[in-house]
Amino acid sequence: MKRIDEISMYQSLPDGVLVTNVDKLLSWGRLSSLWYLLFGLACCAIELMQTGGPRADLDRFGAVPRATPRQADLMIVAGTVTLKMAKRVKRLYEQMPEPKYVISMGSCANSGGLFAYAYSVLKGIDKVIPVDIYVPGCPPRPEALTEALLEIQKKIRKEKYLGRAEALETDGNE
Amino acid sequence: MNIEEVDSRLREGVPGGVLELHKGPYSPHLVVDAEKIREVCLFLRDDGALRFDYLTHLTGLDCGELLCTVYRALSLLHKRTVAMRAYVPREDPVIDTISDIWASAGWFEREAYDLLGIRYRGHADLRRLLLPEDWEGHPLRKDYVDPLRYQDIDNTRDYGI
Ligand code: SF4
Repeated sequence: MKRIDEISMYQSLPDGVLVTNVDKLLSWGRLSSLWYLLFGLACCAIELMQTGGPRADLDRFGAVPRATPRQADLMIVAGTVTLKMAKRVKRLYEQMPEPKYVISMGSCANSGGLFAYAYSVLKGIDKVIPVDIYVPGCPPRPEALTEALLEIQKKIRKEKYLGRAEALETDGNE
Repeated sequence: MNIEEVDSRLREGVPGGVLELHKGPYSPHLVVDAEKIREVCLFLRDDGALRFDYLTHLTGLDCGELLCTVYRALSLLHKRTVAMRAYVPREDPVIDTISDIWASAGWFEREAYDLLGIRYRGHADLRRLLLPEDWEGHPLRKDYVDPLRYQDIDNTRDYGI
């Protein structure tokens, strides 16, 4: 029955008018302009730069680097995280406004990678901040990082932003 | 001038400064008395025939009972280098700083202090260089045990291997 309603409604609309719901519109807006925090920690950062460059061109998905955590939606942890740096990464993450997402890029950020048994290297960034997408590779190719961004976009598309914001407020969560 | 000549020149200039001359094929070096390290370095720098005016390298080694500081100086004037080692006991690893003789030693000594715990007496600012200030222990010592935690971070992971 609803379907018939919708069809008749669409038919009655003039050209160039679309209907949707607010949640979907907000999600579409958010996923189409993901600003990622401009920082890199080791060799993976070179591949992150390639991904932002003209061949992979992350910009065509609306993702541009932002050099301050306070205006970034997405953190791409690209590289080896030492224990000394782990505190700083956490602080950067905490400075980002909600809603925020994290991509763990490369073996080092995932698990410590080839430095896993070094005394000074953090064994995975998920020890200090929550991670949405893990990208394997040493380093991952720009295609892999691009796919991770698309996965984040899929995730955002499914989210109900308004509900989430309310839930966060009542929970008093960060 | 090869290392033998540097050696004999040093023995004249600083009696008792050089303990031994190592002539291995890969890295010939002089073993110098840790007590006399400042005299030796000053002589290397200021003597007209030597003029080692630049310290390219300073690092540390854990040799078991002894800890060792390795120095490598370069003479830009005469285009030659010399390597030296000075050993200090592990229980009390103290040696005079040379950071006022060659300024480049300043950070190198901090690094050797950070990673091996050799203390450089008279250094103006002997803090850790690479590791955080609250780090415990000196990780390039052979008996160092890797920490499982750092502050509130649990740094263990089961890799299943
Ligand atoms: S995963 Fe590989 S490429 Fe990436 S930071 Fe670690 S060592 Fe470098």
